[in-house]
Amino acid sequence: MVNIAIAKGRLEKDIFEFLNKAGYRIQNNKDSRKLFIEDEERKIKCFLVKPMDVPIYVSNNIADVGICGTDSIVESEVNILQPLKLPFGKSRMVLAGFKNWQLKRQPIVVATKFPITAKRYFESHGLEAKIIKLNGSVELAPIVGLADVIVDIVETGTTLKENGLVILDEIYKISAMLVLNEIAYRTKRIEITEFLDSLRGITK
Amino acid sequence: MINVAKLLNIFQKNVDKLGYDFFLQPDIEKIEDLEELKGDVVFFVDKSGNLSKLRNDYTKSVINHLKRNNISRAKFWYSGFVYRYSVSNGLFSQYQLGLEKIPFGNVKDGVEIIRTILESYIETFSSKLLLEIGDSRVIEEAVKDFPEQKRKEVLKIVDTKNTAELEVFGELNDLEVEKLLQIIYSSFEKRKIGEINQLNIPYEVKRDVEELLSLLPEYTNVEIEIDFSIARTVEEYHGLTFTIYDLSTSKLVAAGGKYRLYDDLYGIGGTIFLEDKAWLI
Repeated sequence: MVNIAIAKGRLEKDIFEFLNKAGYRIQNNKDSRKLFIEDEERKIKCFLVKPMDVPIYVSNNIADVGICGTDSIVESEVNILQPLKLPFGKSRMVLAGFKNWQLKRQPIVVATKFPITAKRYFESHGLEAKIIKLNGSVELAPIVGLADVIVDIVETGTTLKENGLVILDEIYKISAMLVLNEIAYRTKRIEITEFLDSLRGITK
Repeated sequence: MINVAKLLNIFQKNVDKLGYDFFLQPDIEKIEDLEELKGDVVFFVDKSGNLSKLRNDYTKSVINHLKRNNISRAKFWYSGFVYRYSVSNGLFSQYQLGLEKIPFGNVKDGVEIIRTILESYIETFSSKLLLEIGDSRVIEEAVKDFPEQKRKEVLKIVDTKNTAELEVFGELNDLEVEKLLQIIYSSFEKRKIGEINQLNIPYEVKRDVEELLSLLPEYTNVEIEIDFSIARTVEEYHGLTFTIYDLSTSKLVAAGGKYRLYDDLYGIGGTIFLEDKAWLI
């Protein structure tokens, strides 16, 4: 049995569709109280967790495999194998702010849900930044004067535009990723290879 | 320490047959180059102000001994502890049992080292093993244009097979990491010996790996795979590398490869590492 941690939220629907396409018979019934969703015949057992927790479950060997976005992996700062990039969940991690924003003072005040990414971005540019961790509505921060700029995920850019903000720089591209525990990869080699092959078949 | 004594006896019997001499050196070594202080080295200053360190790697000790004494031909085996320091573990020791052959002549020397290690381990522990064959030249080629400072950081990331991190590192430092990503993805997808021809790797690497694999006997308890993504070897090795995992514990139990001593002089060696098993009674 391959235990799979699945990211709730943004990627959830795509992940289930993708697994169904690969031939796994699992349904995400949101009304059900069941914690685990299982395909007994194909030997996979899935459970839903917060996106940021997927790498934690995998690195601690609770889940053999996980599916989450690049952003969750970068923010978790844990080492997990990533054998496959999946063909959905495409977006971008960006630096955004007002159109004519210019660097006038340091530290730059940055609001974000992704403090690790923000810290690394400003460090790589040799800039000093004060990072304010927010849990939502990050776009509000420059408007109300809480921050100079924001670091956030952008899919279409509509939310930014509606709030009078623009992308100032792209930090990295985001995609859904399959992550893998190193121990499970060796001790459950046959089951995991079979699972990976079935997904690879539909990514090509 | 029944298991270790058994392993040591079997290993000694095997290396004796092949004409290896025992390498015996004190655990404390004088530091001659301040570069040696880097990383996990445990060092101290004596009352006269001389810097010394506890041995942290047997291969390095052998190389230093050969260089100091201008020796270019040797077959050594060793058995003993190495000592390292890490912030998370503090000072820790590891038992190492290994062998070194200098100079490296051809692939047959690699076969000799791998066979000695594999066969000694199998006879002692009877576990199922995974032998991964690689070659440091594949990654060396992919990072050859990277600035020296960034190279080390990139190799660390490649070694963890953290592709998301590698992409982010590439973006933030303006480095082209596509080749490295392909090496990592291939290391999951194409691991079977027969798949080597599907990999985009230099001809010399294919030739050497194929020759090595053709010379290794078939073992019932050993799975053999190819993996060219083992980046930690790039700094230490130059050419063929191998790693051995004990599948019952999923632990790395042995590793080795071909390394450069200086100019055109190469050596090859391998080491069995024992942490828990060294203390079994």
